[in-house]
Amino acid sequence: MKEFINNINWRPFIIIFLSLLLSLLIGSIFMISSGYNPLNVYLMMFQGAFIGKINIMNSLKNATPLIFTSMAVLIAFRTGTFNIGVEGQLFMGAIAAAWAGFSLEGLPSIIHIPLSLLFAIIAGALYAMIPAILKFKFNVNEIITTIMLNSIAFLFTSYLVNYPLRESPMAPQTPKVFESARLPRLTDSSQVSVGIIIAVIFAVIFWFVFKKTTFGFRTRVVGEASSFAEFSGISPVRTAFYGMLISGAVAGLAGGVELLGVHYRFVELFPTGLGFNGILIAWLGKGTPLGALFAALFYGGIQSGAMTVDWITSIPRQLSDTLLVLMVFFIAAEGMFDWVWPLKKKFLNKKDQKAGVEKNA
Amino acid sequence: MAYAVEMLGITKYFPGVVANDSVDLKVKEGEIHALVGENGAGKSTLMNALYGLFQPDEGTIKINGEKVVMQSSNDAIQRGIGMVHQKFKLIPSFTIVENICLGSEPRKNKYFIDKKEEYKSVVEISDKYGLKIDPSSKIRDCAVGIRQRVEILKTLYRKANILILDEPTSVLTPQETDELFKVIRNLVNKGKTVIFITHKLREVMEISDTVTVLRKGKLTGFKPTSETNENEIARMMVGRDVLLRVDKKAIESEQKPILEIEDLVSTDNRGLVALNQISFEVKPGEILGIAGVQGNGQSELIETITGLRKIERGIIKIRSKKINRFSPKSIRETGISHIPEDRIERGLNLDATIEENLIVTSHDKKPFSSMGIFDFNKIEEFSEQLINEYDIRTSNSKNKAESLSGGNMQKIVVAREIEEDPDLLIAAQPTRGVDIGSIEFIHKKIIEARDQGKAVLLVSTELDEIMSLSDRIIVMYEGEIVKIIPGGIADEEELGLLMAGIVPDTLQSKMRREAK
Ligand SMILES: Nc1ncnc2c1ncn2[C@@H]1O[C@H](COP(=O)(O)OP(=O)(O)OP(=O)(O)O)[C@@H](O)[C@H]1O
Ligand SMILES: [Mg+2]
Repeated sequence: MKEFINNINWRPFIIIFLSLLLSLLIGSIFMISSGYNPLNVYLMMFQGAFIGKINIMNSLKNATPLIFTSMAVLIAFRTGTFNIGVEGQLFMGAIAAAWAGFSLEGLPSIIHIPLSLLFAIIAGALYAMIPAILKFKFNVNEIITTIMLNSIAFLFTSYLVNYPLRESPMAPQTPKVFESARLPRLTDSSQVSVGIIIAVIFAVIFWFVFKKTTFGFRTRVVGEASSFAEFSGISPVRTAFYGMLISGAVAGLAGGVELLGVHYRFVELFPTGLGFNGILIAWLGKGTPLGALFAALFYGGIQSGAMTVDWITSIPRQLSDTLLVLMVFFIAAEGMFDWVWPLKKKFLNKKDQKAGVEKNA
Repeated sequence: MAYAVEMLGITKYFPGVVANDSVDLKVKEGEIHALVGENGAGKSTLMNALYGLFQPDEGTIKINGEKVVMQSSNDAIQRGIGMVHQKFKLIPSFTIVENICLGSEPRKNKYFIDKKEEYKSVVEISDKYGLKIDPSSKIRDCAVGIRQRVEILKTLYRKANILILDEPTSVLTPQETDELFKVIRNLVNKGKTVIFITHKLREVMEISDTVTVLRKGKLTGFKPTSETNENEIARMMVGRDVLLRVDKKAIESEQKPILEIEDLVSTDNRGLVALNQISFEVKPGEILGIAGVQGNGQSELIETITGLRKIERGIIKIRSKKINRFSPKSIRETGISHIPEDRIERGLNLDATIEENLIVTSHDKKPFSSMGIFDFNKIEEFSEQLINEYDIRTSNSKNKAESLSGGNMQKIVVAREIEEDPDLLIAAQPTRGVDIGSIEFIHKKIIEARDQGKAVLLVSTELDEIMSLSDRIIVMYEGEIVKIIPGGIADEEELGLLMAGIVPDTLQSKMRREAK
């Protein structure tokens, strides 16, 4: 057992813990300055996030799209590509799912739901193909193109709900999708749907792919050492291209699940930020699928906790975003925690090290 | 005489290894001190401690008699210590001048880099010590040998008094090595102290005043060079006698060639012609050696054959099948494997584990994976077998490649490419940086491959290696083949002339023509 504990790399956990602590500390400065006791507020927040069925359900609802988008960010990032366009691909997926949901009539759920989600996946993947082709055929930087394509996606979907797909003159929104296309909800009292189950399954699949499959291995080799990959017969371009397509597909699926599970129709003010937060969540999870899964669940909780705080106090719900950004900031600056490691070394005395050496030799 | 460097009782642990086990190193001021030992003996580790890259777990360091604790390499540089690492630390997209001056550029008006001054001082130093470079070319366009020179210039630019050179000659040609030795003698004459790591005992005898030998992290020898000899040093290093002789059966091969090259033309990174209508072939059961001073098209030739560089004109055939437009992957699948000259850039992923590095070229084949899913037990089994066979010194096959000593990294690449069981093995500098025991082993493996009827294309700057292994030798000069000679009758002098582009026959006929 002791050996097991020694074999775990504690570093990421310690960094995350210290980052959380620091973020909460800075957050409390704001609370004190608005006259609240931070301990009370954080307690309230914790309860709003993780205590009671409704709160937990809401947290899961918040986490669902973030799990997908963080996976989308991860797969592209592993191949060394920055997909900032998850946001736009998610919008394309959502509107495609909406269209399939309200225009295909008379299908049973068992067909209608997967079909609509498939539309979302294809829309997202196709939309990601644009920056992928630009990058891998014409060497155009993907960060710039995906940012531009995000704006185009916002405007394009806005056009669609204002004109061709508009339900009534009353509001810029599409019709509601048919009952048969809606993802079943887990409870009556919350908007959380089976989407959360799909999301968790996806995270586990990603973990499996990264850990156990040759494709997952190739994505890492390409991301870590591109000319080595080429030398060893792994095509960096092809691998990164697939990475980008999968990224777009998962982003599209995120949009589809969000639409068919929560909103049922595409409205002009479809929630933004799911894609961007996905980038932060991927960071928070230290670039691993299971890490991102927990980070998303955690952040989903903070979001609903912040809602509770917002209702009861005058602290705005953006508190959750502030905390997220702070945490990501501290984790990114992990070098500043380097003073911790020498402390640990002092605890491990030299005898232990020597014993380890002799055993291994 | 005073000691410039005294390291006393240095001990350094890495997870699972004692890299240095109470080692003493005493270097006199103004001497050339050779540090030798097998791959993984702890030479680089000891020098990294001297250069302040980490603090030893035990022991003290004295510089010029004064006890010091160095927190970083900046401290070491301040104390006049300079180090040229085994693994280069240069920025590929910067020019040579920029790399040399990086971090201590001359200033103009305090805030602006004085480019002129920068350029001038680099040229000055390079002239002074006879290290020829093209100051404004980018590092990524430079051959390994040039990068090495830049690294040396970098320490000189920072006014180092004590120079640590970690295996500087493993990337140099014999001629370049001679030049380097002149530089080193020059430095010592001007009162500098040089610590010099090498695997070549000939060099130890030739240039050093004192030699320190390490074996498995422990000090096993410390003597004035004049009081010892190559055999004794080898024994202190390896613990047994090493025979550096190759036994080779003659093979008559009348079979169809495995590799055929016809009128091959390609360009280097700057777009200049690097290969000018090269033609040759390699038959099964034959080792074809390519000799030449580095930078005469050998690297480009190999990259073109392996699909890593575009072909401008000409034909490459494997077993009579044209492979001109094949991807590196398909070329590997036709049965070519390749030990690249740059093991860090091309040959390894330092972030990945030893196991992953060993299976990468066949990771998608049985038994390592089936239907895209890895079988980690098989991978581990295979890796441990290779680690044993090739004597790769590591505590665990799941360690990162980064944690290996330089020579052990090279052994990983060699093991992987030979175990691919190719029809054609392309080996560029296969024994670069490995110790004498392992050179013996790798040579044996290459000859074994040939005896099994494989074709071997060997590129090496070591004339000894080329002459003792090759069945035929091609000499390249400025992108052309100067001459093809049978291996048995080549002598060093003739090869040397040919490598300088001087062909005795043509010289004569030219003179005759002119006489008419
Ligand atoms: N960062 C590290 N982490 C773990 N082990 C390491 C690390 N660096 C070196 N080692 C181990 O320490 C030992 C000594 O390595 P070192 O690089 O000093 O050898 P070396 O004598 O320079 O060998 P070579 O001639 O091959 O360069 C090796 O067993 C190596 O695997
Ligand atoms: Mg070394």
